[in-house]
Amino acid sequence: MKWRPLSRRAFLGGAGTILPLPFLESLVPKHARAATKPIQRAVFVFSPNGFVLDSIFPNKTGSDYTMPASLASLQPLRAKVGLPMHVDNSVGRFPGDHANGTACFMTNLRPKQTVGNDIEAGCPSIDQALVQGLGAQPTKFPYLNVGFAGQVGQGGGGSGDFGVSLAYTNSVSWESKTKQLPFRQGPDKEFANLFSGSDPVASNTDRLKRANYKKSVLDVNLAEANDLKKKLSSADSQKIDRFMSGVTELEKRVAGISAAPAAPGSCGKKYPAPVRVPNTNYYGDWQKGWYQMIAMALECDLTRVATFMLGQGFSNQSYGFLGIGNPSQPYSTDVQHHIISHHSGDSAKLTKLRKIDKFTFDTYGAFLGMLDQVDEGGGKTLLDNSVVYISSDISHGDHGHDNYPVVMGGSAGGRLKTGQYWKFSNKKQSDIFTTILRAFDINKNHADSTGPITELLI
Amino acid sequence: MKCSVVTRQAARGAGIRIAIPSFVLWAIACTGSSTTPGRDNNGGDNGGNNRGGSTGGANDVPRGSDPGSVAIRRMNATEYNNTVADLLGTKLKPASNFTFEDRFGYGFDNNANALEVDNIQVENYTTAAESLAAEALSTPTIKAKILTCAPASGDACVRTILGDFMRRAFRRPVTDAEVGKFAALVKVATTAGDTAEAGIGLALQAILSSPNFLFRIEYDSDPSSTEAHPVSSYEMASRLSYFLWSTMPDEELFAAAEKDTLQTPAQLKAQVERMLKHPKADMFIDTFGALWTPLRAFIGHEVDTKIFTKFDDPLRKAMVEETRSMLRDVFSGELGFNQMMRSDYTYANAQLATHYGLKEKPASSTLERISTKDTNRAGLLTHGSFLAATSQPALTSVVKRGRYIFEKMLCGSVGDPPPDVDANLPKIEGKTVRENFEAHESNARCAGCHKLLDPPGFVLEQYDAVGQFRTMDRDLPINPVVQFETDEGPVTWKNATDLSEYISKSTGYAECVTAAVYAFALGRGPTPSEGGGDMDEGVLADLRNKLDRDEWMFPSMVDTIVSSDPFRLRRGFSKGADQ
Repeated sequence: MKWRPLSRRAFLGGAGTILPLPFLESLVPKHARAATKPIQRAVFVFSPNGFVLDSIFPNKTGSDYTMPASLASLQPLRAKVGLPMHVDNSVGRFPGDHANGTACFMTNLRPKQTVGNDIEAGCPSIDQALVQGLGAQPTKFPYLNVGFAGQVGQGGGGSGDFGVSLAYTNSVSWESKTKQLPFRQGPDKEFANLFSGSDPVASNTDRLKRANYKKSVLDVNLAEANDLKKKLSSADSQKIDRFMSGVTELEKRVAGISAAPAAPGSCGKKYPAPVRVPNTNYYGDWQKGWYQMIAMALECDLTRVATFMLGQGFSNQSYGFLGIGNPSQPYSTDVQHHIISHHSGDSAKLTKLRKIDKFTFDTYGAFLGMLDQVDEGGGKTLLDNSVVYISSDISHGDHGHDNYPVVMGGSAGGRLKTGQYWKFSNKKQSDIFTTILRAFDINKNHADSTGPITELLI
Repeated sequence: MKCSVVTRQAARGAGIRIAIPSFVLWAIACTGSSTTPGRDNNGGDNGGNNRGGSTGGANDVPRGSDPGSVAIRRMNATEYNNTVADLLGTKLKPASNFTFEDRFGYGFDNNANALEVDNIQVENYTTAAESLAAEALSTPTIKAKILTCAPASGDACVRTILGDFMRRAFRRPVTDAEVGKFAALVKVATTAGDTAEAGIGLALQAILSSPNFLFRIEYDSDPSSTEAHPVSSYEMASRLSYFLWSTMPDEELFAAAEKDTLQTPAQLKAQVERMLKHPKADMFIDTFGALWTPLRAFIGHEVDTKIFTKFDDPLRKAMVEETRSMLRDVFSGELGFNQMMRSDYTYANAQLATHYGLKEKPASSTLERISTKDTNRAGLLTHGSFLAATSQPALTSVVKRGRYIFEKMLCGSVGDPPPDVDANLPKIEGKTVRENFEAHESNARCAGCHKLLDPPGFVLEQYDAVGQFRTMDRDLPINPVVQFETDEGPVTWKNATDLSEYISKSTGYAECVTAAVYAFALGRGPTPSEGGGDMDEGVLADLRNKLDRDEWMFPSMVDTIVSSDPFRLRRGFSKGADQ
């Protein structure tokens, strides 16, 4: 399948016949332009199965490095990109490298070692730590989790991933130790969800009335759920709890709508709605489609914190569309990411993996480019006001949990240093996350971090 | 990780058609370290039917007293679309736009444990509820059915409208107090200056996003009691209608529930007979049928039309209809599950018959039933839908075909290739696909699985990636002959007919078909209790016994299942083992 650009209006018109959206159209106002202090955003990108390290680590530290091959597309934006490399996240170690590595990607504490349904992370993930630290925001979504599910490898060494539940690979985002957050799938279908809900011509009274209606409906559903819980077994009650948690989140969102002034927006017009077209290249186009949607959501200030899973942990996503295998067998195992990521130094596999890494950073670089096109006033672009973090569950395909490459685009509103390569020897990924918290004026240390990395802070 | 295959049956007791079928021997040979199933990594059941122990004939099976327990079930996408269509008369299919995928358990998307709930799902459901309620009030036909009186006339009318709608939406009688909660929303609207009718819209929205609507809830008088007790007639109406129709009960089922006449096996049998003849029974083809065969996968399967230039949408549709028609014969009781595997007829139109190279050709684009005697077509495995869905876009796949047969038809379970083994074997020029594949078996780490998976794929090499018969692969002759040593002596498959015949008679297939229908019917997998207290083994043995007697007929299987204790009874959840 392919995500083919189409005008947003055409898409919405088409969708309207399937799914009427009463208050469609335009979006939330541009707080960014009016504000004096820039609005900071954070995006965390999870790229499964590690990287080929020799093509991602630069040749020398500081600002005078040669752009590594896999990061070539970042060259035009190098002044706005930081490379805090060689950091440690060994809490994700064996046994269960991929399950633990995915769980630890943003929680950085070893999760509960279980193969059952009682999975538990060490702490909330950094995206949620930011959401919680920032408190209520006037955005439609407190956070936006998107990604691509499926194509997961089957684990080994007994059940799960060497005895660690594969459910850890389902999402990197944790609201609390026990609440793993799902992510949205399908940029074509999500387009309407994300960009609907505010009515540019509605009066303030009307808007508040609608918000009140929504809240009243949700209140009835919550009351029903509470009644149900009294009558059900504890196992069934857990499902109702999860239902209630969903309703509660919607209630918060309704409260946000009430607080936001109604004004027509003009944002987001340059990113068309993606459309599915059957095509072997669909995953590649899909990745670009989601990046566009995230860019649009940030530009329109629908959310300030986003997480993007390019694949689940353990992903066996086929990269046949990159032309790295037999073109007539675009889905065979010799182009499946996890399978080839175990390269053991095999040059044919390394060549394929470098192409995958190159693709990953090409789309990532294009995303940074999109953000850099958005002028947010004060000489700053949306990219300047954001931090876009990307790394993996493991550092390289044969399972390293130290020496991770990390790429960070943007300076979070001039708070983070960019344009340099740092070769750290005793820093952890959690230290980078603490640094990000500081950049957002949140005075907490993340997970097992003992403090921010001062070299990265302005 | 090791290459591993595990199947649930090591050996079988006496009294079965084939004492030790060779597929079972296969499985033993490939038993490795991993029992990890398919994609059910979000808890719930595992994907295979990996069950320990042996089950012989019906008589030596322990008869437990535990009917099992089913978690409350969220409607899956199909059930949701069907239910809102029946409830409202809408043509909208909101679930087709949902931004999540239902997870699978035991091979199906109606597994109670696999149907998780999360924030994004709730968001999707509430958005859909808003759209459906808006549509209901703006579409005259829908509105007329719901607004049976004038809401502005007062509370009595509001309560009548909502009570009637809620009874159907919640699939059970509702209390005055419950109706009151939703009627209060009408006041919210009128207080804000809107009409009572707009208020009904708000109440409809709340009903459609209610947990009582979105979940199928069976109330237990004592939810923590492990005593088996019958489900109510209303709950039975839902069990029946979601099993056979994947939708809410119709008025007849509701009427029977109201009279409490959905309790005895005779009462249930009468309903099943009616329901299987009802047009809604066609849905079973697209739910169970399309997942048990690779039909649903085929509908979205990519074919390389640069190579297969004649493969177009009409041909794809004809292939879908071919398999659907055959499944219809099975589910209506005309054809046994075993006969389906080796049937001497199929359904084709002019284009499909030409594609297959059949002599008997219908004249038009309408599918007709035609004989396949003495042709190279022999039941399901030679349907274009099966052969294409288990291929790559441009090439056949020995492994995909073998794996589908092994996992879905015989309920074995196969792991991924070891990550550190190079699955990209160098292609040896001048050698056939089979000869190239046999190279897998030269590597001991691959051989364990491949020598079991590949043979059916070798036989089916005589059919290309869009299901056309061939004897040559480019300029190389295809050798489809496969031989096995079994306890009964050597078995030889010379062609797809031999393979299909073999599978249709194998014990593995009988067990797998019964387990699949059973898992779909109950919305859960068989749950072996510690100590053997569950009833599942006994019912499954009854089902297999029945297969012997009445030619593997589906309606008869359904009778056995719905009149069985696990289908009619439930217990509470205090036993944690089967969560």
